[in-house]
Amino acid sequence: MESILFIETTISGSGREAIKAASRLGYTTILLTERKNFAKQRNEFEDISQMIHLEKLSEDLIRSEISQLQQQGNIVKAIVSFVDPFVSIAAQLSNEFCSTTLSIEALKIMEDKTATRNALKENATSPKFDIYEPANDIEHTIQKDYTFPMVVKSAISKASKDVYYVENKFEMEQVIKKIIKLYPSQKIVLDEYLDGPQYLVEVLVHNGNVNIVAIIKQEITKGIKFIVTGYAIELDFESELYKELVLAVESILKDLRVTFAACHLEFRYICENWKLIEINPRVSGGAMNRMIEEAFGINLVEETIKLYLGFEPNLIRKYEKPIYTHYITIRSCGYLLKVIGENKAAAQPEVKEVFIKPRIGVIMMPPISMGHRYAYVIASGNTPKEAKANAVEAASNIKFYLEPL
Amino acid sequence: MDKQNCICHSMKTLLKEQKIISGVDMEFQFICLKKKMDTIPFRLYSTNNSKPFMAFYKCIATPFFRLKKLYEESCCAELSLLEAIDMEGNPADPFNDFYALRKTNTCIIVNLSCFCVIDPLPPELVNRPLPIIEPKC
Repeated sequence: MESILFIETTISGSGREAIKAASRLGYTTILLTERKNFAKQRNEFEDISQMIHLEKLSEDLIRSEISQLQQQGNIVKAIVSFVDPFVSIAAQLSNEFCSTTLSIEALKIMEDKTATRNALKENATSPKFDIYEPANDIEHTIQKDYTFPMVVKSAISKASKDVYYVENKFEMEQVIKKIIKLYPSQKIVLDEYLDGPQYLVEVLVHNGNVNIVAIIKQEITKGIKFIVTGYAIELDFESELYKELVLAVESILKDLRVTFAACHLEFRYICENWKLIEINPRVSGGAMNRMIEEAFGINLVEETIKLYLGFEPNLIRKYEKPIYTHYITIRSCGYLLKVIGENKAAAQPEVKEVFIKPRIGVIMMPPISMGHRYAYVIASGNTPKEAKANAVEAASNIKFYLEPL
Repeated sequence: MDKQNCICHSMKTLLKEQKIISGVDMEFQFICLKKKMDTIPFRLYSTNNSKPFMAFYKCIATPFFRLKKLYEESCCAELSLLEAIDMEGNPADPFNDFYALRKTNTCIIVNLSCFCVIDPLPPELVNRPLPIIEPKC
């Protein structure tokens, strides 16, 4: 019985689609999860053959489960995670138990934002940065000669959580104290603020060959935090800009010594230079896999699994379509009473997918992390502009009814 | 206690509790009630009918009432009509999914001896603020 072991998943989005892809490829899918509520919602996980709940997804407990699964006759072909911070540990165990050759050192560096900055400090894409260590004196740190505004983020931040824009020393001190209170032993990254268009680059590295699968322009809304509310697949990237971007990606992956991995990088284009905002050791979550599938006919998570299994991924584009994803956020707080407009949005022209995240009764709020984006609409069009207009127009049908708190 | 006295007695208790939650005759030193409530909405059922008593006004039929006055000697009560509304604030089917009850100025006087069951509902339903609809245009 050949199986693929997944360490943690999300209910929806790229990580979950990976499990479905593994099932489609004919493997038994086994999930190790810390989330107790998954067992209660077991009937919503038909694609998972076996679900094992662990109190904590520690390396020791995972190892012990793998041994037990092997004793039960499971031939574990790969151990995979699309959820932070389990990507590198999954890859490490996969190399150990399944003889894969994933670039685990590089994946570990990508999981830690301070390690990434240090590893790439000589790279031309690296912005000006500083690292605050918990043992440092805050007073001494904030007196340094920084040029504001700056971005302060915890080393393990994800989905915009614990990422703050600060305009002066006072704000910086407050934010550092806030992060230390949450994560007393975590280092903190202090980046120069880079103002320019932001792009996300999905990459699959096979045997040292860097494959840029998709380039996506991000639309960022600044409220309490920076939240990405729109993603546009870039089809007609200006050739010189594209060449520079490819070189930037290749130089980063070379410095990190990546030979077998899936990752995504976020760049800003500033004064004719590509600057790295961050790099993550997996396919982007949320709608990304579906967007790429709709745009190019490539199921990126499926190809990533093939890569993990030692096969060559097939990244040939079957077609090229303008695709835009519009995310919905709200400005009020309240308990969700009902949602309307999902079917109407889905019936609009060129709409490919509508996804509503919250369940009735949950508390909804304005976004302070990417997790507070409550719905998305993926749409296409004859041009990128039309795709965006279709997605935004369809999304305008979706309404959340909230009971004030 | 006969049936007539029983429903009248319950109404007396309801009126007393309605005064308590509205803060009438009760001055708190340490409690600040954010949400002012002055109604315990209810439905009435007569002896041989499984459906609640309905009152009609304009084009609306409602089984929801607020007790305004109680005439103990005659076992009669003055009730104001409460209208069921949906999440948009439009009149709703009182037997289906309604969101809140809206006060009206329309009153009726009923003989309580015609009823044997009182079915109270949460006071929060009355003049419950309408939901916030997001995203706002």
